[in-house]
Amino acid sequence: MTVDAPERELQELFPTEVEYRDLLDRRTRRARLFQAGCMLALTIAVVALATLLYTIINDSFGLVAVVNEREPADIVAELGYDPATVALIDVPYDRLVGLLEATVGTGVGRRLEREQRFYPDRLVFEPQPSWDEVCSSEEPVPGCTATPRDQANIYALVQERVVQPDIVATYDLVPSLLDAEGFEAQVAAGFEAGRFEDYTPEQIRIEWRAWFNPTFLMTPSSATPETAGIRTAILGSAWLVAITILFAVPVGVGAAIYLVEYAKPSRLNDFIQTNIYNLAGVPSIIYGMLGLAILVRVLEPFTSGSVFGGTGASDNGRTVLSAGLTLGLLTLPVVIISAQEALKAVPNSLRQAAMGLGATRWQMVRSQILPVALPGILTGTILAVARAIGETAPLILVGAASFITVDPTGPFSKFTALPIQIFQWTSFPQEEFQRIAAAASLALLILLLVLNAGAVILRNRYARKA
Amino acid sequence: MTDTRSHFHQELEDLEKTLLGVADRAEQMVKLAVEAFTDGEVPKANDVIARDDEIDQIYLDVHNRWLHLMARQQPMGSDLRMMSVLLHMNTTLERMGDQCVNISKMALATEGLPRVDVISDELREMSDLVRAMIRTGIQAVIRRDADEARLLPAMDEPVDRLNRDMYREVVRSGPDLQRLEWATKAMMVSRALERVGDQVVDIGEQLAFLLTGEMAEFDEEGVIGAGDEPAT
Amino acid sequence: MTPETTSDTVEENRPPTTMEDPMEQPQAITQTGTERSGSVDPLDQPSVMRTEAMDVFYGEFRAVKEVSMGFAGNEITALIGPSGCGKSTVLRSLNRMNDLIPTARVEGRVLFHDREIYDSDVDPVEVRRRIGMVFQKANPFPKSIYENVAWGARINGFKGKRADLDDLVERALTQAALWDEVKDKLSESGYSLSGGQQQRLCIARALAPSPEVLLMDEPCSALDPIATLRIEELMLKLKERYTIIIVTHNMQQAGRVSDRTAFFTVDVNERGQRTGKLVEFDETDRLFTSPAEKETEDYITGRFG
Repeated sequence: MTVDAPERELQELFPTEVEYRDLLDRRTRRARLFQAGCMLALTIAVVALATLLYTIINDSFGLVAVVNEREPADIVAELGYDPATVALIDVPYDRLVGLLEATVGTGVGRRLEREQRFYPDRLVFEPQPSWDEVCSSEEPVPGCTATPRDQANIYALVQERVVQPDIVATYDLVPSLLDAEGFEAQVAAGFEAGRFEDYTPEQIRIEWRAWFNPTFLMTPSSATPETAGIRTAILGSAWLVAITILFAVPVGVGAAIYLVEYAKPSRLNDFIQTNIYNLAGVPSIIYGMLGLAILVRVLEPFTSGSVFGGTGASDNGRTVLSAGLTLGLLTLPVVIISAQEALKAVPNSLRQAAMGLGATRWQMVRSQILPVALPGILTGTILAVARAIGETAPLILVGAASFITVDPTGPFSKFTALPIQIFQWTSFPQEEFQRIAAAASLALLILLLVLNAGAVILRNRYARKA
Repeated sequence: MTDTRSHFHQELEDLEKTLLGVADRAEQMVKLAVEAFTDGEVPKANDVIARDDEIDQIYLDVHNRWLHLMARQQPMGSDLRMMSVLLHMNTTLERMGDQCVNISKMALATEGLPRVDVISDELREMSDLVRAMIRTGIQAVIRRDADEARLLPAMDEPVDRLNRDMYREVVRSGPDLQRLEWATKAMMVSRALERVGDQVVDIGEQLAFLLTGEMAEFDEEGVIGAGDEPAT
Repeated sequence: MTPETTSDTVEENRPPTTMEDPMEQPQAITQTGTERSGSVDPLDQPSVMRTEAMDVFYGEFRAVKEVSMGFAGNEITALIGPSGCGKSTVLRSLNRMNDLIPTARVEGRVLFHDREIYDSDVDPVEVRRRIGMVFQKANPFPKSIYENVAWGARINGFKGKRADLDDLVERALTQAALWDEVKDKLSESGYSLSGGQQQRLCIARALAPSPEVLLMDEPCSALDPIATLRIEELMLKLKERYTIIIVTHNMQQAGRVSDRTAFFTVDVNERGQRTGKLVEFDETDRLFTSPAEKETEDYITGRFG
């Protein structure tokens, strides 16, 4: 009796059949509500991202109304080639240089040549016979050290100086596809409103333009949006990424290995650990200020390269090296943290087994722990670097040039980067600049996508191996 | 004290109880068998023989249960020694029953023959002594009392002596052939009783093994012959 | 109770019990216990390893106290006891694996061939080379079977060429009774083996650097009965070459394989702190049939609280 009675009392506290079914309905409804709520959250996120993507793509392609000073086809024909088969960009280098020589004034030509040589050995616009004379003067010009121009470069120049396209109106992608006539009407209205005073309706051609196209990627920056490209920016970003990785990965992974495998628990180590977490959250502009103060100013002899035998290319510390190291410092805490996580994820049984065989700690780490942790470390590194590519604020502070057309040649070069370029172009009011800014954003997005995809692939590949 | 093997220990206890019950029966069978012989009561003899059949059954049953317990339980320590003791006791008690049957058979074989009072008295005395030994043994096992077990050799001594003297009494029972025949059979009864006495001492030695972990024989004073001193 | 009473009341069908006092049950023999010599360190031969009054601390907490015992060469010594009694702690102290735990501290002496292994001029790396270890859950490296076995030899400076290494791997796998099963798939991952095979691989791995002593921490507890028996067979063969010390919570296993057994238990002091201690250390036969200590007897018969 004493055993059963409590049992029965407790049983009575449970719902009856009917009560239970009612309750079950309510519970199910609530469960579905929460599920719908979560799905709604996901939908909002997806819609926001899709809108972003849509906007960028919409801006990067579309119809334009353009006036060329000289049509490329005419130029090609004048140079003696068949415009139907040969494009302007395919015309041999020498012919294009000759064309340029015939078109631009000597002053402009000289300036262009001093900025970047047309030929390695001979001069086109200078009276002096050779570069040595020009370069031996007290202040050698950038052209002495910069690599000579190439096909893409000369094509860009010809576009800029000879073809001189002037885009007077642009149109978004979706309307271009769906409502081309609307654009024509828009242009006509523009004429009536008197916006295109310099031109007659006959001069204006409406053509399809992909602001984001392969040439765009290979063309250096320029003052005119029609001819500008992001080559310099891409190369600058590439240099930055390389320096960031070369600095942050060995230092970060090494620090993580020390913290996980060697350090004994102590107040000092806890302190260091906490501060690494804190540093990961510090705003990037602070790192920019750090970079400016120390790398650009204090360490100027090193970062400008003058201590290694100054090239004179850039005589201050605002070089790709400074910026790369700044970004490296920025990503360092993140690399340390993700490497730590990857190392901690290695099961302790492996450590025990390795030490039990009489291995030294380093032997254990190198042969057993690192190979297993490597995919995790790589993934974390790639994600950290992907973040660094998009950083703008620190680069501004450390001196990314906003307008530079010369490709970076080494760690001591002046530079620009994709985010900087985008930032600069968006600050100009003209429609065309907005278009190329969007195209550059698309390029940046694709780059990030590729990096992230690479991280995922790497992770999957190594996860399958283990 | 929690017993994590209470099921097993319970089964061990049950086995022990069964065997102690057999010992109890054996004690009665000794009484009945000897009475059957000295008083010439045939029904008692038959009764003893029937009871031995039951004991044989129990012997088989205990043996089976023992075997299964051994297979399933992997006993250790004192449990293991107890298993050894129980196996030994099972066999010994079954033999005790057989000795009582022998006595009964003598009783049946001497039906109608004249008794020799002196011998009858001595046989009754032996019977009492042996029965006392059995009860002492049972108590010693129940109480796990090695001291009580050590009394057994001393208690067996008079049984042995009476058995040795029985020969003289048989010779003295005179020229009458019928009395002689009875007396000769009495000799065999005496031998049987002497054997039962030895078997009880055996059980005492088993108990000492259980308690000390040393297997050895008692000497006359009940001291363990070989090995270390038993615990107090 | 007197004999007369019994004979007067004899009946045909008396219940088969002589319990005059029904409450008087057969008393547990442990009330008296058996006291024999042979509790601690009965080694009658020189020991390969021994401990003298060894205490192991984790910070302030004393995990196991005053362990003094010896391990004879080419024998299997089993450490048994309830959980928390410190047997794994003792085992890990024998090859300085406890050094990997920052708060662990060993006091007393631990001697290997009469050399104190916790001396400041002794490198734990060398200790572990000569005293190998197999763990509770098989933990092969995520490498090929060949590499698993070869790695231990390599890092310890094995000088032979590839052919010598092949021989070493074959020898270790043969000693671990695994060679026939894996000789055609040495380049496959260690994880492609079954649980029992993985554990044998770990044994081969531990044998490759040619240790003298093999410590095994509940090596079969994660395996099925057949795999367990195979490893037990293996142990019995291995002891011809090595000295084996095994921690097991399976008494029957200790009974099956070991020559000597040490029984540990937990001591709870007034403040509720639990410290392990060595209760009895004897030849396995004696410990399991007639243990000297009541605590041992209680444990092996399942009567403890």
